[in-house]
Amino acid sequence: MNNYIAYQIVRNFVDGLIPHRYRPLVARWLRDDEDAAAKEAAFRKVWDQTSSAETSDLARSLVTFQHSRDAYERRRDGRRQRWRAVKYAAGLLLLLAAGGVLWFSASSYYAHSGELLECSVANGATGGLTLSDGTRVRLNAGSTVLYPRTFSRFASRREVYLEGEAHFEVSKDAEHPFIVHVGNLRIRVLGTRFNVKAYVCDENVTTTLEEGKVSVSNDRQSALLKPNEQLIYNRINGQMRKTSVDSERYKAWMEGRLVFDQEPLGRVIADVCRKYNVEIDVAPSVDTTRRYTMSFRNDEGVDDVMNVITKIAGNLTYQHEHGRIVLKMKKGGAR
Amino acid sequence: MESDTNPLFSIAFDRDEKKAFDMIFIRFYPRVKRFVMGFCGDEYEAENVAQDVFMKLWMKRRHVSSVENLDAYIYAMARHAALDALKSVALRAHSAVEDSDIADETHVEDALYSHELREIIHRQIEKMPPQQRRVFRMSRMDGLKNDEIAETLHISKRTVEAHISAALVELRKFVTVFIVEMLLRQL
Repeated sequence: MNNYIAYQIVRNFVDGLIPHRYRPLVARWLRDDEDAAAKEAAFRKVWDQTSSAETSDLARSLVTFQHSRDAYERRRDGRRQRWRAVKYAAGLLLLLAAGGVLWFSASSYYAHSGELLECSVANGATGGLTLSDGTRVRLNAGSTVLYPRTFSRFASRREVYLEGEAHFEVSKDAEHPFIVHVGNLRIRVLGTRFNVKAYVCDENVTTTLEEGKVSVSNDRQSALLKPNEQLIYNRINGQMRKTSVDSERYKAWMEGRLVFDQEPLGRVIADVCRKYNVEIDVAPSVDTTRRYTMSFRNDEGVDDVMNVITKIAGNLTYQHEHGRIVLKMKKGGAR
Repeated sequence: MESDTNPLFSIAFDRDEKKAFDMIFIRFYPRVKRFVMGFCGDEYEAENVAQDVFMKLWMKRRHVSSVENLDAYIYAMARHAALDALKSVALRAHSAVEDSDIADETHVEDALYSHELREIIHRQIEKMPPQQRRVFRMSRMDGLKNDEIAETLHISKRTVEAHISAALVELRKFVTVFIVEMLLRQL
């Protein structure tokens, strides 16, 4: 059987275009050992053609997975506790001593003169620190930055790792570009002020430049930002989109303000949860793709925010339940 | 498609495995679920199978953080899981022997070229709006990937996906109608 026919069969099967009564037959064929090479090529092709665009239930699927994972880990907990201490010590030793291939082949490893420290800020708070080169970093709720205790003088770059949201005021040092790693993305700066928003649960990484010059790149593409430009990188499809913005708006969080400009409800809720350190359950019937434009001062609380959201929407209502907030459709409401 | 894991990812991974793994989940889950859905009966089952794949991946996470081609690795797991899910469907093939329509010597290729079904499908494709037809042919007949089609036709990947979805919705409707008519004819 040639590859083309095998592909057509698999393709049509997956598309739901094989008549129902033939499906068991094709299913049996798919599982047997004949024409293995043609079948493998066919499966691979179908995988390559499968879109990786975000599914509407991705956030919920992630939560489901996290619950399963936690349950699994709890069952193994006894054994893990003992291992944890050993793991960290061993990990550090490996990095520092075993060196060799890993340490010297990637110049970025060489950039760290030893330990990587971690600064974490919980939900409901903000925090900050100053790095060894004088760079000032402010962290928003639920964010973590990994940084070396001292930037090595021998390294060609200064590198840190971010998860969450932070504002950077980078010390000028033309000899040593400052790089913020967010997953596979590298945000490279000279001396400058910018904001990066890259929470794990968001599919976008948003970089907003106030002053200076910044390049954002991964292995395939890169973009250059000028002041008051913003780059939105979609982690799912790898696309980069640049727009002009008022950069002040994107650091409103540093003054304790919340500013939303045509943000989908899903992201609004995520930001609200982190800022006020409260869990918000959103009923599945609520449209989380609907966009909202609103802003809140730092003296306004979560109830103020929820009141405005429900007022703008018209068909939503919220209540406090067992220490969390529940947002759902109003009964008998419009739409 | 970004298929490699950044070697520096390992550092973040050592610090907080769960958060690093969540990033992989977000990146690959939709694709795994969509892929598996083509083999499973329904979305609920596809979700279960996909969750299972990631649970297995989590249990092997130490190995995963050093894998060079993560895309290929996850593909292999998804394919294995999908074929496994087909076991129950495949079993029904034996009981179908009673069905007079499926003779013993029926080859699987007949499933593809069965009766006038191919004719109907081809006619439907001809009736599609030109761009949709172009996109669908490039995908299903030429076997191109979505981003390859997007680049060739200078349209967005999202538009390509929308065309293919719309085309499939129409085609599936016709396959259903065709089957119903065939069954009615046999009465």
